[in-house]
Amino acid sequence: MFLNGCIGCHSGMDPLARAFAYYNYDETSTRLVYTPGVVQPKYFNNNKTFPDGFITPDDSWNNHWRQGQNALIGWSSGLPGQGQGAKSLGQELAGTTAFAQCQVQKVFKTVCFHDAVNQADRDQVATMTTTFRNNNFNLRQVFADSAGYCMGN
Amino acid sequence: MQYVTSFSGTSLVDVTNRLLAPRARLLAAGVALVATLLAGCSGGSGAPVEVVPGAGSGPAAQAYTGPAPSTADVQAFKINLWDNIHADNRCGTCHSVSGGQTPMFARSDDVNLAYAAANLVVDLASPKDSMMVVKVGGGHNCWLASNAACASILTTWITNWAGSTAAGGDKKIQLEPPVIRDPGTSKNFPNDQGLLYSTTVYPIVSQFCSRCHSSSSSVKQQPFFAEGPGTNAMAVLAAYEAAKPKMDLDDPANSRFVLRLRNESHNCWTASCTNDANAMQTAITNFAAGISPTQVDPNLVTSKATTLYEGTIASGGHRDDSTVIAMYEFKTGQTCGQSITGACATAYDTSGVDPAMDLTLSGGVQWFGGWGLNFTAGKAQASTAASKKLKTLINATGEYSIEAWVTPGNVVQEDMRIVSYSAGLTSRNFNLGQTMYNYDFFNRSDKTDGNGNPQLSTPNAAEVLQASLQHVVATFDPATGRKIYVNGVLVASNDPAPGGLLNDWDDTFAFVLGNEVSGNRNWAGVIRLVAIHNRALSLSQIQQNFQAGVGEKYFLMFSVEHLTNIPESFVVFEGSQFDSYSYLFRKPFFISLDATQHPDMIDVRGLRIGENGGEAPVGQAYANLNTQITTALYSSDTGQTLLDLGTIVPLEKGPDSDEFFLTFDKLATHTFNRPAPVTPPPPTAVDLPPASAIGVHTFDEISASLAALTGVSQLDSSVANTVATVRQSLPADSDIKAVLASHQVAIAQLAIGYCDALMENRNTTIPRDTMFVGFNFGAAPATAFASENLLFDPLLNRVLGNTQLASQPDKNAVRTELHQLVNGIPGDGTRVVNDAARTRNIAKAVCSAVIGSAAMLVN
Repeated sequence: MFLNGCIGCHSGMDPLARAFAYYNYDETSTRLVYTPGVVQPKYFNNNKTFPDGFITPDDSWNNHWRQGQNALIGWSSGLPGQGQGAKSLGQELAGTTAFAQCQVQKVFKTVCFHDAVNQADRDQVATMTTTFRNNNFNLRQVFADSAGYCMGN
Repeated sequence: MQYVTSFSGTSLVDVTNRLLAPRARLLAAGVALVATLLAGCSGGSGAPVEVVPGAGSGPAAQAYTGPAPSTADVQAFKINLWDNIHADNRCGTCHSVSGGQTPMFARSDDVNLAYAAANLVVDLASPKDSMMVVKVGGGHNCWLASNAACASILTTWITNWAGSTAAGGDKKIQLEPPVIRDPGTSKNFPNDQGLLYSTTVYPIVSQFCSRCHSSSSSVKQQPFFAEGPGTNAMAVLAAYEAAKPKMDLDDPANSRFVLRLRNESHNCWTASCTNDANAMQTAITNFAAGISPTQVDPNLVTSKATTLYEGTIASGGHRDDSTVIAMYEFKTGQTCGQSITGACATAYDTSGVDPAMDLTLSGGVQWFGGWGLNFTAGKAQASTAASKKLKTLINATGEYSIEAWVTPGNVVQEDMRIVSYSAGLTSRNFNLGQTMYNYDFFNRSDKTDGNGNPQLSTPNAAEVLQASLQHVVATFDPATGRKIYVNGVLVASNDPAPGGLLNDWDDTFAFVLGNEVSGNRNWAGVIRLVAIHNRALSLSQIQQNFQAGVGEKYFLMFSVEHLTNIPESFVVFEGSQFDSYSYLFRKPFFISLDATQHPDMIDVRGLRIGENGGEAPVGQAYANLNTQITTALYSSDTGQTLLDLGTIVPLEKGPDSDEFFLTFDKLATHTFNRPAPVTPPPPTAVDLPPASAIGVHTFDEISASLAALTGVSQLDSSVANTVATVRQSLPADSDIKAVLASHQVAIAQLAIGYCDALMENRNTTIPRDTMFVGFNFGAAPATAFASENLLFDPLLNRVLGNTQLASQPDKNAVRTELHQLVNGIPGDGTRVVNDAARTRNIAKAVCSAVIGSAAMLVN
């Protein structure tokens, strides 16, 4: 079953989720728990269901989605695609074209009251995305550019 | 000095006392044979009648009165093997002095001579390969209906002999290299909904086999490969699926369809079974001819090929079965398919402890691929006579263990029996059952009732029972009572009725799997192994058996000598059939069988499993492997582990036929530049319906806008109260299509609040009179509004801007509207006092109308 129903997503997700191997949320004390060097027990929930499966040894992670259909996300070529812990995973995600584009689209909608609906809008979003990435992720500029594009008369 | 082992006339107490000795069950086996009613060694054609110890009065086997065993090994041979085979219903009839058939390994006159003869036909290093086992397994005078069961039991006896001597004490598995051959092209069943089958093989089976092998038959017989009618595409598809295991595409003559006719004359439709077999073979050949073989990509770096059954058997070498008295490994049903009749109706007790407590299958139960029984609504039950050995042998020790490998079908079934020794719903000696997420353990003792109550169950909250393969052991000992271990962990030990004696056990009960003997507690799930021990297993024993695993396991050896140039080098997987649909491959390691080799600096990258000419589409857990074989990590005994992972590979044609090989992106100097996965083009952007270019301010934005327009602080108590009252009625979304009339009412209320503060000159950042220079708020309306533009213009300039914008309302038009508002409807003034307060009220209305308008709201 798991080779049919689950593998499509989890073969990529699970190697990324290892970044959070030392994190858990304690519902009793309502706080985040961080145990550097010790993998949280929740990572071994199904160790008896399929004992031959992968056993998480630490918080190192791999991004297998740099190839295949998820390469469309636009991963940063300046990053190695692997690392340790949540911080480097955050950098991996924030370094994608998709992340920048998402922020720009949100600003665009906030300022212009609608999504990019036609080619002109999409070109504007693409231009602002490039500017955003090249301008050290300066969101203020994105607002300004969006307002300039949508201000009407 | 004569060595005498005459148990004739031995009382049951004496017998059971012997069971407390270390070799207990083997003595018991000997005792059982003494009391065995002989039935000759006629090769399984006769039905041997066996009687439990002390239960019968048949002729006793000859007591051994010959010379004593001369060595410890002869003694081990005697109690482990000879005692079991020398009787006249086993090998003794022929392979003895009286039988005259050499080798006389079952002779009764001198066990030392029998030992010498036996050494010629046993292999203590590999008991399963003993000539004695191979011969009997091949059909030579098996005393049971199943040759495989006889072979398994003989293997157990020889293993016990080997295990008690230095010669056979080492159970390390010796890898046996398979025949080296290249991965071949292979024909695989096409996914054509049975179209090809319907025009080749189906016409024959639908004509000649459908009277039985069809679900619509009055004497229907699985498998339904002749399902009809042929005009029903779904029926043909079902027939095709059922027929797949019966056809060998690579060698049609080896198809079960053909062999059944040619060799077994199974319901031939003409006078000549040979002709019928030829017709069937031709049909299957035509079917196979219509299939294009899957070619191995010549660019791949591949190992040599092997099949599951060509591997070295790895099963069962590490279990602790020293106290087992009944054992079911379910090895014999692998060719039964969905049949549980004839030879497929029996699950054999292969413990080697007589009497064999064989189980008869009935109802909804089928054999499970890779050894096991799959229960849906059936049972597998032993006779009460054979079951009696449980009471006898367990009463002897006062303790026992029920060990099982099970896969519960679900976690909702309640009060169902998995393993039971009982008489019905309310009477039992023991029972291992399931209630949702719990295993239940009932045991009859002097501390419990006749049904074994109160039961011991695993803790509710723990939910230890899962619908996955689990190793369950329920133990009982007279001191502490019951315990339940799951997957090698003690999960329940707080026996509500601890300790006790088992003397009250009833020997008229029957042992049953998957149900109650009364047939109305249907457990759903798969049982892969059951063992009953007459000792409470220790935690270490349980963990040893858990680690040993279950089912048939092989070491699959993929030769890579042609790639590494290291003699006899292999990549070895531990492989097994995982279930009826897949294989489990695990823990690959690299090894050379040439112990003088010291491989070093061999890169291994991107290992994939190939099956039947192509790489398996999923389950390639080793695709990211990137390691190096080095002298430092390599051992000539154990090789070097490549990756400590397991994976599942689909079962395609069956364990007999599926051919496996490995591919590498890099091995030693050989590389394959695997093309990167194709990144699909981004989806084409589609224009959306034109969207509004304007939106509205939302709740707090509105309040802030009004504060900015009027210069009134949001902290003004009256304003703040109004905001608190209407806040949830203000627009929550900037979408202009979401603005409702109720929003406008709330906006009006808020605007009035701000204008009230402004016109009363309360909490303003710009004083009222500064904002409306010249307008006389102290005069009556007629006077004040004579200069109405002094009120209008500052408001309009603040809301619409000083300069008239094309996208904003026309100021003159707005002034006209406001003028009409100020002057009202004629006659309005008759009932009010036209004083300065009224002036301010009118000013508030004007203010509200302006700042609460769309000019403020629309963004």
